[in-house]
Formats: sequence, C-alpha cells, structure tokens
Amino acid sequence: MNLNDLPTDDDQKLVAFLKRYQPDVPPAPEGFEAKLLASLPPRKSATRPWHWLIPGAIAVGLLGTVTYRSFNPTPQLANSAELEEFLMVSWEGGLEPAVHAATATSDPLLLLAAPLNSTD
Amino acid sequence: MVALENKVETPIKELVARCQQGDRTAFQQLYRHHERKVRATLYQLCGTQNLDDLVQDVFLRAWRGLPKLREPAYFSTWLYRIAWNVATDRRRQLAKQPKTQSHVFNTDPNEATPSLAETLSRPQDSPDVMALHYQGLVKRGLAHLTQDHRAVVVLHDLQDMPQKDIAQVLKIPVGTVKSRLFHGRKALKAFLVQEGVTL
Repeated sequence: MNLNDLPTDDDQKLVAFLKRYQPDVPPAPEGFEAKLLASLPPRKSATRPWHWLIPGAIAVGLLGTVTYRSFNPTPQLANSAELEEFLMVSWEGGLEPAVHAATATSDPLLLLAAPLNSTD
Repeated sequence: MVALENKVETPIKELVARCQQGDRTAFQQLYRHHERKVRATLYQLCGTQNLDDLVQDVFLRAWRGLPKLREPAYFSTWLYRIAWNVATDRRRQLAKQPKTQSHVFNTDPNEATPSLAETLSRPQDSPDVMALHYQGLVKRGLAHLTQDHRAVVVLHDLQDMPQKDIAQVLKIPVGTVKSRLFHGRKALKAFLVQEGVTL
C-alpha cells in the first residue's frame, strides 16, 4: 500500500456522512420470501447429461436392432431336406478339386511313389 | 472476500453444498443471510422502482447457477456479482426506454428533496428533519454519479467490501477500483459541498 491509497481525513468524513445518512432501504413486502421460494424451479439432476449419452446410445441401438429384426426376419430355407442337399453339394464341391489336385501333383508321398512304380 | 466469508465460512459452505443438491431449506437460510445486503445494494444502485423484482431475479439466478458454483466459500462475492449483473441489465433496459424521469431512486434529482431552506422553514423543524434532508442529499448524490462510480462507492463505502472483492465482483483490476473510488468520492464531495454540506 502506498501513501495515496490511505484514506484522507476528508474521505473519512465523507464515508462517515454517507454511512450515517444513507437512504433507508425499503423492507421486503410481507410474503416476499415465501413467494420467492415458491417460484424456484425444480432442480434438474446433478449428473451431467452426457453421462447418459453412452448407455442411451446402446439402448437405442439394441432397440433399433430388435425392431429391424422383427420386421425383416432372416430368410429361412424351405425345409431341412433342402438344407441337407445344399450342404452335401457344397461339401463335395469343396473337397473334390482338392483331392484331385493332391493325387496329381501336390502330395509328396505320391510323387515319391510314382517313379518306383513306373520302373516295376 | 476474507471479510465477507470468514465469519460464517463453514455454515455457508454447507448451505451451498446442500443447495447444490436441491435443498430449498438451505437456500432459504442463504436467502435470509444475504437478503438485506442484496436489497440494499440494489436499492443504492437502481432505486426503488422494481426493487422487489430485482431482488427476486438475483436469488432466482443464484438458485439456477448454484450447481455450477465450484467455490462455495466465494458465495457472497458470487452473489454480489449476480446483483451487479442484474443492476446492469436493468440499466440497459431503462436506457432503451424514453427518458421521462430519473430512474435511480425513482425521483427527479432536482425535486427529490426540498431544499434546506424549505425544510427548515417548515413548522416541524427538528434534528430528524435535518437527517431526512441529508438522506435526500445522499440519495441525490449517489444518483448524480455514473453507474460505475456509484457501484464502487456503494460497495466500498456503504457495504464495507474490500477493494479486492469489488474487483472480482465487477471484473475489473484493483487499480480501476481505486481510481473509480477516488473519482466517485470526489464527485460526491463536490455535490454535497454545493448543496451546503460541510465535510
């Protein structure tokens, strides 16, 4: 604090005068406090809204999926016989080329055996 | 801040914490603790017109803003800042209206109080009448100041708020508070001397 910050005698007299003769403040009207408290809006939850964002998004996602599935069911094969036939065809189709290929070229045992057989 | 808070620091902190959880009873206690000072400050800044509405606005804003208050110990300073904002909004609102009268204290500064000679010439002359006359002069003197000067004089000289706290309430540097206090007092002194008061 420097000397200029100190209140002068004049300042002190002025402040004393102001305090002594400051205007009387009108009191609050009767019932003001009750009216004020009644007008307070309800307090929202203290937790922040984004705390609910992730669980909310998951719930909405699940609900959407369930709804979509219920309106667009997965296509079903007509009966189990068709399904079995389909599996058989797929299985054989998948194996046959591999068996042929192995016997012809790729099986090392067969490749070793071939020259021996030919000399006999 | 220190002068305002230390005496009741713990209760205020507790009350603020409870208010933040939505406890209206705690808010009622905070209201009772601060209402007079808030009302006095608003009255000295804005006058009587709509005073109740302004006080209500301050406490409603406080209730809404309490969950965001991170330092409960600074509640008083924070509340004064809300009061200052409400007073400033009020001043802007009035500035848009046609000027038919002086809004501070809802009086015409030239007609707010009778002159000293008029006062003393009345039959009921007494020390009380002199006090009323001086009260009228202080009213008019405060109304005579700019809003910025009046705020600093009211908070410092009438509400006994430290300059550091005033700087926080008004969001200005402490040096500006000192400067406004100096000029505000000077203008007030000049006004009172002109009205015949000897200081």
